[in-house]
Amino acid sequence: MSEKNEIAVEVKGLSKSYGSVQAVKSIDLQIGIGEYFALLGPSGGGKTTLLRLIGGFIRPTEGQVFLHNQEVSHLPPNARPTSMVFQSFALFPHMTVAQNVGYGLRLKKVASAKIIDKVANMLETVGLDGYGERMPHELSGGQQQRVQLARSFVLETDILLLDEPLAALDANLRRDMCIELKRLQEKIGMTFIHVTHNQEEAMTVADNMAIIADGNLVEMGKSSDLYENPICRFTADFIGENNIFDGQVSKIEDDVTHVDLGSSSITVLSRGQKTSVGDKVSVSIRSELVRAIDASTSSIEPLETLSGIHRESVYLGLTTSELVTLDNGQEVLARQVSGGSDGHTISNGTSINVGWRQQDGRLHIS
Amino acid sequence: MNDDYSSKWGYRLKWLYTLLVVTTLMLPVFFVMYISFNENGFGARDYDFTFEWYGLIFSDLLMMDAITSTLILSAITVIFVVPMGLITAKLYKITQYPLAVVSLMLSPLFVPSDILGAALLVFFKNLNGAFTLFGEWVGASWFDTWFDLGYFSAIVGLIIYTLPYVFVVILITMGRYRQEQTEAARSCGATAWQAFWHVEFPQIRTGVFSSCAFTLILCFNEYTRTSLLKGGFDTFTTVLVSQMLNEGMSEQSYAMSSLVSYIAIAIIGSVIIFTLVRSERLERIARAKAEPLMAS
Amino acid sequence: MFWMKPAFTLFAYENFFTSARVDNFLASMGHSSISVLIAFIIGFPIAVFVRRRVPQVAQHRVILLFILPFAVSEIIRIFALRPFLQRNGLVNDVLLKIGVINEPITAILFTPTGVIIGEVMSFLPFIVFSGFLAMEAVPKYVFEICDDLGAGPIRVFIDVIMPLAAPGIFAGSLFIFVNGLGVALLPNILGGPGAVNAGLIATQAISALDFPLAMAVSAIMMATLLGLLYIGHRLFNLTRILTPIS
Repeated sequence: MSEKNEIAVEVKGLSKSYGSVQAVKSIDLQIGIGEYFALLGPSGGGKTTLLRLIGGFIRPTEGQVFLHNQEVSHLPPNARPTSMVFQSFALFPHMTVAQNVGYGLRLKKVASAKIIDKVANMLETVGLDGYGERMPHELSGGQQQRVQLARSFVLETDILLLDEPLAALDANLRRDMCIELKRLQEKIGMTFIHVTHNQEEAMTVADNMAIIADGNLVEMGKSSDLYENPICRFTADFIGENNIFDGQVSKIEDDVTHVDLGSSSITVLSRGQKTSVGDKVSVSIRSELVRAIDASTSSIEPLETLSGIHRESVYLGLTTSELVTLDNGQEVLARQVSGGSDGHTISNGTSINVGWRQQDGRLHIS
Repeated sequence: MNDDYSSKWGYRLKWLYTLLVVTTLMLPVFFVMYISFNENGFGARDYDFTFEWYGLIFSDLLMMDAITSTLILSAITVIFVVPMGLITAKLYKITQYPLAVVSLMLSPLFVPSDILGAALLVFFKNLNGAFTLFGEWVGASWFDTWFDLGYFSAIVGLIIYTLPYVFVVILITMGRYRQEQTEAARSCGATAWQAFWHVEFPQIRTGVFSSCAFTLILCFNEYTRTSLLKGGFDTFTTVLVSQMLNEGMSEQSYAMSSLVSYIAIAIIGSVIIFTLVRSERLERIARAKAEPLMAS
Repeated sequence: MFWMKPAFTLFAYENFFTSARVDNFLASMGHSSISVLIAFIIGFPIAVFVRRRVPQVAQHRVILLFILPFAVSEIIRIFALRPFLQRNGLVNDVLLKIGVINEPITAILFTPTGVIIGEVMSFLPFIVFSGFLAMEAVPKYVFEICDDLGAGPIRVFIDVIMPLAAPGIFAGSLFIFVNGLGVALLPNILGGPGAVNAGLIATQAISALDFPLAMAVSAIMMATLLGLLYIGHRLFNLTRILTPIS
């Protein structure tokens, strides 16, 4: 738990309903100062609503929002220490780039000489030196986003909110902009809150992230933690390419939980999670830690295995995926870096096992 | 035009038909203009072209009086109706009951002018009567003429008449406006009013001004409601009608009508031309956008 | 001043229904319907044409052309029809000269025909506007599909355009119908002594200071309007009209 004075944003019990529809259901969240924080989740899951609640564009139905320990729950956007970058269409089309960037300063009645100075500096920082007199429609998508960033940075607010800022850009540009954003955030030091449905984007930019789905905060933590050791089944399903097996607890030993999958059974380390026999649980394993094992594959360690039929090999350049259909009909994905299995391929239709080390499996009780 | 297999001649024929219809609709107007230049007035056998009648307009006191009254009525109506339409259009965008708002706003369109005028007339007279009685009861004669027929009642009638038009015009213009811009402005520190004035208004300006112009034209040309509600004084249209029904229009009236028509046509013509110019500019912008600059 | 004493009574309605005014009212409904039909036949094809064949950017401008008649006072337009249609008016002159007829046609002005002509001319722009808006409900690709399937223009019209554009067409027609019923000026100027419509009944009643009668007529008109609106809504779901605006 961070110190009180290191928290930039805190929401407590925050809810928002539209009539009978609950967009955000009682969320508690803390974001530290200077963090790059991502709100990741499926479309329509509430992450944008949450962002807008923090920004003041929506009023909460219940709960509170604290920015730098001040309650701001009912303050409008212009009274909060936040500024926002939108997905698109948010530059003022009737003003030049320089006028756009300087708008906030003009409102604060800063001297015009100073405005010109600051605007020029900021344009240079975001890599748009000399673009001051252009009109927004003359710029490309990426350039427009940079102008938005400049417009927000120049206000020197503490917190920057980004609402799917890269969604309108094509894939290559998006990747470059992700790195740009990270660089700028580190340079300027503001707290960034970035909403996206794209996990690669979130993982590139964010120090910490929260998974928001169906109005709930599902899980929160560092990207590496969420990727390697997700606590919730949903997180495992959403991030990375995981295989998930649903079943019931059949036996509990000290450290190991046995899970009955119907036609077969596997074991997984409990890692302190308490269950009772009969509980519905799930086990997930990252597909890159699952291997397709046939007669020729040797293995030193004991593996959890399930049997099935090999259906397809998919070559994706860096990785090759093996698609296996288990006896109970479920599909399993085993991924490896291409060229790893000594060059021998498995033909479709052969019986095969998939296996993983017991410690690579993760137990999910929710 | 389409590159498909539709016939070019079919297209031209249909265009011709459309123009023919418009011209036919405008024929009476052109006829009035034609007469206004005739020295010998309406119905005379000979036609001598002259500007005489236009010059005499200003000496026709009855007409000038009426025009002044009409101008005042129109101006006051515009001042009230355009902000009302603007506010309602903004409400429509954010309300949870858009259907109710639209039905309410468009309902005056479906009430014929006479019925509306008559109903308002009775309404005001009743109100007047009620207030007079109330005044007697309280002992003050101050209330007596509050709702007498006059400028106030005429303006109310005109506002009800023009509000739907203003609402629709502004709404259509606002259709192109993106809400994100207001939010971006708020996020830069602008209050709601500043966001509207600095960011939204410049973009819907044309719509607002066209609706002002349109309202002016509508008020000038309106007859039935105004005549029922205005009480004693004359307006442009009532003068024309009383002349028409009695002795036939005076030559100056023809000239004045033509003059008003010229102005109105000029206004609409310039709107058409303006949107022409604008769309060319937008087309140019769109073409520029289609070839994006490579650097990001 | 003469005024009414407040009392609840249906006398005015009785008065209305038992007098000859009812016949006039119904007759004027007939005339209005004819006007609507004629205006539709003349104007709707224009709306379809503009929507289909004219390039997107030019469409609104063409429609704006139809605002031009509004620019001119309705009175002038209507009144100026007189010198056209009367016994020694322009139309008769031309027809006589061409030799199509031997005697001037007197059956135009100061008859219901004159009123219909006046109504059509006054309200044609509305049919074009509402037709145009209604056509927004018909996407372009529908026409391409029809061409593909080899449908002739009439079939296209009946099966495709009418159902989709129905709400807008209905709204426009209703507008003309109601205004035709209500506007006193038209029959006054063009219809001659016999012609009457609901609006005229009402205004005459007002000049006779018979306010209850005027209001009764107005109420009946509004009831007719609401009834028609309701029927239209059930048949066509009028809320579809709103989609272009929202």
